[in-house]
Amino acid sequence: MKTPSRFGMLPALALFAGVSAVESSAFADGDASSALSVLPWNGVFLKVSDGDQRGTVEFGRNVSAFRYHLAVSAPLNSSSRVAAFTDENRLTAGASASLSISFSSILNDAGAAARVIGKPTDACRAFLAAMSAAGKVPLPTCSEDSAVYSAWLVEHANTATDAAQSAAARELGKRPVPTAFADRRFFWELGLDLLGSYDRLSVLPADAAAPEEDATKWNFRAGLAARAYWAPWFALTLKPGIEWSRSPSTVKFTRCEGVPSSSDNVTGQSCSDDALLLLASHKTVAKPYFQWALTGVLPSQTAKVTPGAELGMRWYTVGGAARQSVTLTAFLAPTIEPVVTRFGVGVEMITALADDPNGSFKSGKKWWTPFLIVGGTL
Amino acid sequence: MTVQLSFKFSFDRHDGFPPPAVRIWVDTDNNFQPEPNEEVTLTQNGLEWTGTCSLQGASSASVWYLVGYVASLGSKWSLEVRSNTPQDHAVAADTGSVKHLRSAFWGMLSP
Repeated sequence: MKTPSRFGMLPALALFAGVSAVESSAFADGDASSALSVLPWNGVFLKVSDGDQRGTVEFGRNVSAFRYHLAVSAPLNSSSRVAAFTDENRLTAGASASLSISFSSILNDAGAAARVIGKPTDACRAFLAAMSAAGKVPLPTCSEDSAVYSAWLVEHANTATDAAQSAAARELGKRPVPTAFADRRFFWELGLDLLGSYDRLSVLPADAAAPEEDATKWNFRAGLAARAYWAPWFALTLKPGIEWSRSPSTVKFTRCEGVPSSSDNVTGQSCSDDALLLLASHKTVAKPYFQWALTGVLPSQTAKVTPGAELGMRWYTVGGAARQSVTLTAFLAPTIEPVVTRFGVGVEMITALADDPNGSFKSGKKWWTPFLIVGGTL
Repeated sequence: MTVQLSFKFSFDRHDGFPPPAVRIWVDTDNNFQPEPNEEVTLTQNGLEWTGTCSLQGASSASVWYLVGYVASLGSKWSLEVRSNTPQDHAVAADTGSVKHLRSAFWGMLSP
């Protein structure tokens, strides 16, 4: 049987999985070596098997203070479909779809900042009127961050004698957004994650010579996704939920049939490398899962990258056996790219918390999986 | 007559958490309130947000807009608004250096 420890011999490759704010995009990995699978962990795509190749379409947008993100993914070849049935880590899936909807205090606060500044001030009106009168095109803004506006305020507060002077003087030193709100470092997001996958393949029921029958693998997961940010250093992700799944135990083997021959000196075989032997059918089970991750970065005002580390844990059940996973990752996040892009290395330790119903392993068994992150989401 | 406006807002960098966010409203009813039907739907591509909206009228002159954002301290933002009437041209443009995590500002479009 293909065991997770085998994956531990392979460096895993994580690819950027898309974020809730991305525009519609479509891609399919044409390189057969780019074997992708969804790790149920922060939405990160990990390469865990050379036999899994997927195509993914994602769409996301913000509406007011809400984000939504839709992703559809499917294996691109028969080997990838078989991998979904034989990967003991259950990191691969058949055709899958996910929907995330969340409320973002980040987006809400951007709106709140816009609401609390009120109407344009007299100084702002005077400034833009002066710029228009001077034929300034395009017009600058009344942002406290703008060098043009700031310089105008200082100049008119100190030298002018008209109405603009008093308006500028009043504006200088004033905060358009109350400081207590503008500088508060805490942000949060809370949302609902729905994910489902399905595939159906022909298997041989415990007998390589028996007629094939269909085996179905599916899961549906519903859970909450909560994220807390303490700017700019930390992010805490919590994902509790429940998963319904049906996953038959199968093993891939090479199945050969003899080819008729008119000579005793000549024999032949017709073989299939992707035959599946059904070891056991399992009933549908519903199990809770829980994940958390603490991510920290060391911000720099000058560097193009921010170093960081992430410690995560998850508890989940696959194949009837509960498991615990601990992941430690060291990464660099480019500061000129979206905050979700990361590059680094990590290791995942999976511990069986119960005996495998099929007797494949005992409680306490550990699997180690080193991986290389090329991108990922938080 | 309709004027088509194109907004582009970007940050040069981020500094960790949280991911930056931007929202823009065009004050079409001139009441200086950011209302849901006045919000420009923005598309994010990396650290750049773009969006379009239509204005009834012959010109964008004296139309106010409002920008709210959450961003990393010290990062630099850049804004450009373009109009397609009478031909494609910039009607607002500015840059700034973020002094507070949450901020907002008003701007007015030129003809």
